[in-house]
Amino acid sequence: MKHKTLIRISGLVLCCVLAPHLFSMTINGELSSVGDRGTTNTVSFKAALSTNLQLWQITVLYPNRQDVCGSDGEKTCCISKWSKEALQATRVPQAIPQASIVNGVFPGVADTEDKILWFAFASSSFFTGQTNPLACLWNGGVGVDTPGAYTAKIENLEFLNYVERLPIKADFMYSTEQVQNMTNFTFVSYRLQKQSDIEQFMKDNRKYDDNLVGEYTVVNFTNFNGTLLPLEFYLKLFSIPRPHIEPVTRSIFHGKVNYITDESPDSFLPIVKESLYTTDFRFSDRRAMVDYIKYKIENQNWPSTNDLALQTLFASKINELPPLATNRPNSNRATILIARIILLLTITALPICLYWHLKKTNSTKER
Amino acid sequence: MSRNQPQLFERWFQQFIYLAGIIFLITGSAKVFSATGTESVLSVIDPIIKLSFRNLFLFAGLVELVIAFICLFTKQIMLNLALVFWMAANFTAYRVGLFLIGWHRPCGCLGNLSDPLGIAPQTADLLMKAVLAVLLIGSGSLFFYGLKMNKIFKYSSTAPLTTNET
Repeated sequence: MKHKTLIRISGLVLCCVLAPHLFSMTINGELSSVGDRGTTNTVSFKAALSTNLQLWQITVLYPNRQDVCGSDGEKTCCISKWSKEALQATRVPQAIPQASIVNGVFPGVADTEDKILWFAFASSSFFTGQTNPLACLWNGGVGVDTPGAYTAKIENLEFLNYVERLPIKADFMYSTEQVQNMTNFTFVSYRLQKQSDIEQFMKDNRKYDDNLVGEYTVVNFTNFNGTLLPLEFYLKLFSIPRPHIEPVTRSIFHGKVNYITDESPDSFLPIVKESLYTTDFRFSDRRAMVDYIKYKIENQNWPSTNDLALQTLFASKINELPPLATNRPNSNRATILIARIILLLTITALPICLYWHLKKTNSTKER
Repeated sequence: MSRNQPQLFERWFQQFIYLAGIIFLITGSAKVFSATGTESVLSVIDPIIKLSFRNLFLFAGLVELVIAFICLFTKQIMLNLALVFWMAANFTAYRVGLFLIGWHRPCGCLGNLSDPLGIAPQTADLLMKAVLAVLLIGSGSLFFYGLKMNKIFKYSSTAPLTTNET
């Protein structure tokens, strides 16, 4: 009797440990994009997902490089590796691949295609917890000359099913408020350095708020081992309406799944096989205007944030004096003016007092 | 009020002025010394005064040295107190300005001398805040107390502080 219970318990534990790998799946397909000038680009992709869709790895094969992004639920790591042909063309034959690490499950610094594929297949873990704010999926702004691209908020979000929460429909609306909401998000400070910059940006672009800038729709889906997955989807990007110019479709992304297998990767985080130049966005301090630290991974492991060497590097970067006098978090013109007036009044106070005192003394002597 | 009291106050006042003079001598020398360095931070533009830190260190350091010499080598007690109070008030106003604009870096009040001395910039900043508080409160209270004393002794037989030649 005891043996049977023991076997059952061990079986259960084994199932729990192996489940994500046993029942995981790999989606293979293509993502094409048509730009406003009719240019078409197609990339092939492979998205490996755990059974509960909480862990993922997306590989995108561009004509000249390969991006691999993956998440273990806590952090998202990406490796971008250039093809030999591309390296030869640039005459840098031994270029070291670039890597990035961000907190959370959204590959915020990855390329547009990586992020769109993440939204389609791997955003379940993000939407299980929240819906907003999510940084913009596409790089390069949303139609106006924005210093940042993080100005789209999601509305009318619907899911394929409400357990796994993969989107079937979503509208992206222009929102300057989103920039303010995301001040803790690393990549806003990347371009909008100062609070005054953010406020100015919001002031200048508020007129575009609530315009539809993107529309995501799943047109075909399938049930694979009990999980609903998109088979075909579109993401249409629109330009912002301007005076005398009608809103137009800027570009259309079309994703199509070719086949799905039950393969699973050894690890959902990209495997580090060689040295990597890494930009680690987990080490950020907006107040000190430090967005990331850069280092080289040489031990073939993704480092944890407890790594003493990284913490020392981060601390030294925070303690560095500012490289330029521009990085002041709350300095608007009025505040600087007030500070200068206070200082000027203090500086001039003594000479004025001395002048009055001398004048008074002289007049007393004359009497 | 005893006749010895003005002399006693005067001695205290003079001791405080010497202390302030020594402090300004040290910080002023540190600033002037730092201004001659080659650190890249010296070319950074100060957020309030819009001068490079090199020029700012040089200017502030020279003013501090001048005040230090006046404090150490003249006996004009009220003038010296006024100068110390003025300088301390200027530094306070500058720090208030930095705080207002959100500049949370350590103030370079010791120039870059904290590095060779082996003091962390944050510790040096804290130390200078304490010194500034002592100078501001000390000189301010003594100066205004001295003004009051002068008014009292103006009508008494004892000479006022400002004209003491001993």
